Amino acid sequence: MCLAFARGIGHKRLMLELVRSVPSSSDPIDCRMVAHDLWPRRFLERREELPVTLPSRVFWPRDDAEVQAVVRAARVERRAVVPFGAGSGVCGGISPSSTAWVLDLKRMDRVVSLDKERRTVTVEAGIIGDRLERALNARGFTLGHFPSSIYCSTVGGWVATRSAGQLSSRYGKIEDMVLAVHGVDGRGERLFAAIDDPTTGPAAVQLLTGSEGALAVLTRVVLRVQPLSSHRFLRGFSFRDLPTGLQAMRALLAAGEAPAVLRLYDPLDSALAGGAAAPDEPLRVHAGGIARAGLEDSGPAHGGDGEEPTLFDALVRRVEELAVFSRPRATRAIVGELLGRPGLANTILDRVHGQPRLVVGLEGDAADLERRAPRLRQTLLALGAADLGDSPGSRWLAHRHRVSYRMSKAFAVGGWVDTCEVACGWEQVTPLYQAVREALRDTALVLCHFSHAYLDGCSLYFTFAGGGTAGAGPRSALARYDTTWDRALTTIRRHGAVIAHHHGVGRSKVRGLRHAPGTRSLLDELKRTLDPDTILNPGVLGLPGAP
Amino acid sequence: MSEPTTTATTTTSTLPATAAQPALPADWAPLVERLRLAHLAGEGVDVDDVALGAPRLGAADALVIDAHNGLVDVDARLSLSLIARALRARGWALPLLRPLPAAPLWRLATRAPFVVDALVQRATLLSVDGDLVETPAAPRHAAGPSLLHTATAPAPMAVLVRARLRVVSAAHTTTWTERFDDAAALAARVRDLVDGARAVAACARGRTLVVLGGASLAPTGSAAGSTAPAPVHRVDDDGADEASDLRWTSARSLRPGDVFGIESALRAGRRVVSVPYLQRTAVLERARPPRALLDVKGATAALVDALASAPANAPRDGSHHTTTPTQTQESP
Repeated sequence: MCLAFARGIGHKRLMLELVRSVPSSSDPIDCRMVAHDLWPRRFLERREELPVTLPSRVFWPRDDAEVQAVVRAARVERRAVVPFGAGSGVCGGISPSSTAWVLDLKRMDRVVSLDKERRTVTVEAGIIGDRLERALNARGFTLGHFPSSIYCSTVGGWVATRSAGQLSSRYGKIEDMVLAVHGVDGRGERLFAAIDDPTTGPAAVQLLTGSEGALAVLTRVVLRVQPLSSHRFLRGFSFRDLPTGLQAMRALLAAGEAPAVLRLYDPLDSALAGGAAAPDEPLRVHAGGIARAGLEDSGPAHGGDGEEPTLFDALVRRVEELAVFSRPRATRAIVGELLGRPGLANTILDRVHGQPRLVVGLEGDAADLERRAPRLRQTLLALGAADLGDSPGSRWLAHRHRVSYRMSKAFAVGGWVDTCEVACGWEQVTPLYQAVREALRDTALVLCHFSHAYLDGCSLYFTFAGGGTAGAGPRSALARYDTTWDRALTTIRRHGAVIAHHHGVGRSKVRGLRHAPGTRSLLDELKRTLDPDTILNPGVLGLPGAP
Repeated sequence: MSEPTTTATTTTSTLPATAAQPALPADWAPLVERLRLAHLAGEGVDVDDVALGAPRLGAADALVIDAHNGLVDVDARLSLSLIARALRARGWALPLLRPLPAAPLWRLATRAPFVVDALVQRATLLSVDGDLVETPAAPRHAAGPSLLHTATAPAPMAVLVRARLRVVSAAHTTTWTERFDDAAALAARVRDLVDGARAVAACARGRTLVVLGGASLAPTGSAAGSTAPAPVHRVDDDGADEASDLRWTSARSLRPGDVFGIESALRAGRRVVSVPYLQRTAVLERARPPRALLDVKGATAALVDALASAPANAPRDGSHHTTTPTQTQESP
């Protein structure tokens, strides 16, 4: 008995000794940097001066062994361990308690190997997306994964949340690209799963993908890559109404076109963006695929005139046009007021009659695109499209990564902006779109685009913008934000759509998950076996979390 | 086991997006009882020892086509072979070329993860503890791990009861054949099809590749290393393509562009199938690896054991090769 006790003490000391060699900090500034992700609710809390919970310590492991050391020590100390990539999540997936340890994986950022023949790349989980893409581009390859957060998100984060990129219709979502994963579970054991490993197969890979750090800390992944395309074709079209535009998207997919870009914007979004028909503009095939061109021409270093407007900027512009004056402070105040009166704002915006705008892009070699581009145009014109020429596509290309970099100016005038991405079968897309707009009519302005399309359904990407109730006190923006999400999630569930297409669940959508008993038992057993002390990222996905 | 030669089909514009909390179909009760008794005795149930019988002929819900979304909702006791035949009569096709197995889909799924991975959009599952599980009715999701894949775990944690399979309209597709001088050129062509992500299905055997895809994809000249494409009839003719020597009973997933794995399988006389637009590839086999249905706790423990034991076999660079690595790897 005494020997066992002594061994226990020895084990604990050893674990804590090992973790001391892992770079770490308990400095409040370091801990503040990893205290939460970009969940807009957290910004509202900060604006309302609600306290921030800082984790106890942040570690920067350099390899799997150091990840193991931290997890094992945390288990001994019964502390939560929260894996952290770049913190660009928007669902509250990162929200450590005051006793938790955070594992910031950004020092594990190597491109380990590239297999050009098998088309695979092996990378550590903490690498930032654009660094990986640039490394691949330099060798003539692309991952084909372009989330708008590519400059501020990690590969591990992508896999943990089942991320999607802007070219998903061509390259698939991250779960279509991930071929093998390495990780460390809540017992501190190393794990490996590969789709071609007969002992694990695709099942183990797909059960760890999307686990949001609650089943294992992902440390390294093998991803599918493809050769860079040499040319691109981008074009804009408009439609008389949304169902016609959606029908056109389906028609292109059914014809086997696999467009790299396929983005339909709802009438309001299209009206705010502006643009005119250009039916006589010749079809142009440009050198450089969309993948490479996008990275070179967009991002934080590129800005200035001609920027694709955010919702806030577009509203400011419209108010200026209506008011026939340009006094920035006054205009912003008006927009802030409008965000606080969504019922009124929606009534005004109902009078804006836009036509849904579609941006289509193809990648390939020049000869291939010269053949496909006219056929694509003919298909769309036959379905009632109007040709808008090249400019919608080139504008999108230039500004496609901006949204994740800039906090909306709405926050500065007392408002808020958030996004919600869902997925469903094609027949539900229009009814769900209308139902969400109607349900939120008196709580938020709603824009929507449809940018991840499949033969068997589509994703709807909503943008909600609102503010506090005038004269209702400082917390009213938070209250209205929560009401908006409650209504949205209820409506989404009622229409049978899945509550997340590529942002994950985190904490913000847990209330939208209502697992049937069978689902619960499978998930809970996975959690119990891989993380018996429930120390890994407690609170996400509705899974149990003790520490 | 002989299979029925026909079944009822229904075509609808769409399938319900949500089902009310499903009730276990009575036909599956024997399996639940069998599992319960086995668990009490601390034993597993061999999937080959479970006979559930084929769906009642004429049952309206045995096979329901959703023309709007390109899906077919099927009773998982049907075989892929029978499903394909019923679909063809309605002008639809699975994204998988024939011949197809005669085993019921639920049993095939336990030995051919590729089938679930590529074909199944969503499913009603019966967990091995007897609970029903509905997976999300969406083309893709980010609402946690894919529980659909619990049906393909090393020890299945669940079995398919109903499945929605992705199908394509025959009106939009055509089939053609390409012949190659050697297996390496054929493997490279499969990889190129996967890279292109436009073809629906490809099936390679020996030096021949059969492709199902949009009419605009059919090559007008010779593909590199191939002779001129020729029209194909044999694989589409009922009966001939279901020859028993071509039937497969399991599938081993490959990395979709693994040219060496594909070439090696072709040289060994295996068939390699791809679903390029979904970026999935597998080698078809006639082996029947043992599959025991344990309880959820036991199945999960088996999965975690597999996860924990695999790293010892994994190369240091994190890749996992079933064939010889080559000098094509580089460390940037």
